[in-house]
Amino acid sequence: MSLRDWPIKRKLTAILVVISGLVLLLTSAAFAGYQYWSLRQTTRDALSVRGRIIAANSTASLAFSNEADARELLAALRADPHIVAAVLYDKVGHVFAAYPADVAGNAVPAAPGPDGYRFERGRLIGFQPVEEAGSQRLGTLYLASDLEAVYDTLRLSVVIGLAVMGVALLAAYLLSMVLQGTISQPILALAETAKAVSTRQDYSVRAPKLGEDELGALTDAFNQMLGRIEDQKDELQRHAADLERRVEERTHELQERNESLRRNAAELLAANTELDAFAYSVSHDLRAPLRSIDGFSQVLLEDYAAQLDEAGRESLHRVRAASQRMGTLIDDLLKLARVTRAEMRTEDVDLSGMARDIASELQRAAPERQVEIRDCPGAEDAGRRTAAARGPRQSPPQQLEIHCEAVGGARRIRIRRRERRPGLRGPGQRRRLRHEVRGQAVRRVPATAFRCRIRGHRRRPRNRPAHHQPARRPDLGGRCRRSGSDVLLHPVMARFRGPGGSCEPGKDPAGGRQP
Amino acid sequence: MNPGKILLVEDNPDDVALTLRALKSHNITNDVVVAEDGAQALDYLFGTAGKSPAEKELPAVVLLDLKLPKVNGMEVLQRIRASEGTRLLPVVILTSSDEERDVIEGYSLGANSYVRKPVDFVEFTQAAKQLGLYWLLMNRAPPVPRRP
Repeated sequence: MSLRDWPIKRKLTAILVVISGLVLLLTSAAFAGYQYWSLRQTTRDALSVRGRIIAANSTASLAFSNEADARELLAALRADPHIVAAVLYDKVGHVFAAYPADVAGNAVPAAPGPDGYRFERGRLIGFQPVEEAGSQRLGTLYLASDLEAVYDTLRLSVVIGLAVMGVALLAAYLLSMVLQGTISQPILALAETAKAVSTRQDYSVRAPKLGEDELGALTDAFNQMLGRIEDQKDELQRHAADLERRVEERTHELQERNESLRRNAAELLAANTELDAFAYSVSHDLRAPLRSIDGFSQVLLEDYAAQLDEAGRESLHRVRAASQRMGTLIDDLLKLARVTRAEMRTEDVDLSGMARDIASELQRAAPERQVEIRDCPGAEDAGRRTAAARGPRQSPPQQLEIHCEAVGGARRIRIRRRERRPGLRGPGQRRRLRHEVRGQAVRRVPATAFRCRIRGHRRRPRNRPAHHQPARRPDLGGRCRRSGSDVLLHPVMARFRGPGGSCEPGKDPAGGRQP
Repeated sequence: MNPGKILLVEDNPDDVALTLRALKSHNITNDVVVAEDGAQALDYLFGTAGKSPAEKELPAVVLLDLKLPKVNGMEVLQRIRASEGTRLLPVVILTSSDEERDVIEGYSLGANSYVRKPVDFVEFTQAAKQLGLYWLLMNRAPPVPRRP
C-alpha cells in the first residue's frame, strides 16, 4: 500500500511522529557535536597542565643527568590510567627516560617532534619543552593519552539521548493519536456517511458535525445536499407511484375495453355466420320451387298453347320472367354471402387500375352499351394515387367485382377521381347516386377522393313487349328505373364503409332513386 | 339409341318430372331409373335387403343431386367410387348449388362432371339434352368390370 492510500489516521500520526523524530534527531546531533568538541578541548587542556607540571619537576633530573630520578618522576603517571606513554628526551633529542619502563621503541617517537598538543591516530599527544626558568632548554617531554575518557562520556550521552528520544517519540505518537482525531474524525464521519449513501441508497442519513471549523462547514454543506437529494427522490418516487397507478388503471381500462370489443366481435361474427348460413340455405331452397314454376309455365306454354288466349300466354310469360328475375336475385344474394364469408383485410390497391378493369369488363359484356370513363389516371400515376379499399381476401380486382355485379345492370358506370372542393359541388352533382371511397391515400392526399356514379336507364318504352325484359326491378317511385340488383346496393355500400372508407348514396341527375 | 339406362337420383318430384320431360323432348328415350333418395340409389346399385341388385346392367350415367334425404349425394358418390364394381361409373352431379366447396368436394370425390340446374326451364332442357347426348352417345362408357 503506497503512502497515498494510507488511512487518514495513520497518515496524520506518521506525519506527527516523523516531524517530532526529526526535530529530536537534529537537536541531539547538535548537542552531541558540541559535547565532543568541548570534551576534546578539556582533555587537551588537562594534558597540557599535567605536562607543564612534570616538565617543571624534571628540570633538575635533566640538568644533573639523574636518570633514576627522572624515571621515578614519570612512574608517578601511573595514577592516570589514560596516559599510555611518556618520554623525556635530553638536550640533543635522545631518549632520557620513558614510561612505562618497558615501552617498545617503536611505540614512542625516537626524536621529539614540534612543541604543542595535538590529536593523532586516535590519541592525544604533546611535546612539552623542559626549560630552566627563563633561560636554557634542557630537553623535551612527550606525553600520549588515549581518548577513552572522551568516548566514554560520548557513549553515555548517546545512550541517554536515544532513551530520551525513544520516550519523546512514544509520547509524540500517543499525543498524535489523540490529537489527530480532531481533524480525522469529521472527515471519517463524512466518508462513512457518503459510503452509506452510495451503498444503501439511503439519503436519510446525516454526517455528524464535530466543530465550527472548515470541516464543520463542509459537513453542513454535505448534509444540505443530502437533504435536497432526499426531497427530490421522494418527489420522484411519488410521481413514479402516481404514474404507475395511472398506467395500471389505464391498462385495466384498456383490457376491459379490449375484452368487450372481443366479445362484441365474436358476437358479431357468430351473428354474421348464422346470417350467411341462413342466406345460403334459403337461397338454395328457394331455387327449387322457382325452377318448378318456370319449368311448368313453359310446359303449359308448350303443351297447352292452343287452349290459351293471348292474355293467358302473356301471363305465363310474366310468371316465367318473374321467376327468372327472382333466380337472378337469389344468385346475387349467394354471391354476397360468399363475399361476406371471406376474410377481410386492408391494403393499398390501385383503384384507378381496378376501375379501368371493371369498365373494360363491362364494355366487353355489353358492347352495345355506352361506357364513359373520365379522368382515369395512367399507370405512372397509379402508384402515387393508390387508395385503400376493403374487400375479401382475393386478388384486388375481384374485390370490386361485387361492386361491378351490383351495378352491372346499370347503363353507365363512371368511376373517376374527383377533386374535393366544396365550392364545386353543384346541385346537379349532389343529386347523383354516388359511391365514394375514401381510403388511406385520400388521407395522405386530402384533395383527392374517388367517386363512382351509377346511372340508371330511362323507363322502358310502353310499346316494348314485357317479356323481352329479362328482369325488372319494382318501381321505387322515382322517374327512372334501373336494372341490376338493387337488393345488393345497401350491403355493397356497407362493405365500402367501415374504417377508413365511406360510401354515400346520392341522387341520379336523371331523377333516379332517393335512398 | 344407346340402350344404356340413366339413373336419376333426385328427391324433388317436380325436378324429376321436368328432367324426364326435358330428356323426352330431345328424343332421349333411354330408360330412366329414378331414385328418390340416396338410400334408394345405393339399393339400386348394390342391392340390399332382399331386392335384386341391378348388377347385371349398370346405368350408362348417374345424374346425382346433392341435397338428398337419408343418404346425401356426396356419400352416395363416395360409396360408388369405393366399390370395385362401380368405381368407373360416370357420375354427373346435377344440383342447385354452385358453392365452391361443393364443386371442389364433388370433384375430389371423383365426380365426372358438375352441372348446376338453371332456373330457366329453356336452359334446363338444353342442359339435359346436352348431358344426354354427351354421356349416352359421345362418351365411350368404361368397360363393365368382371365380377369375381
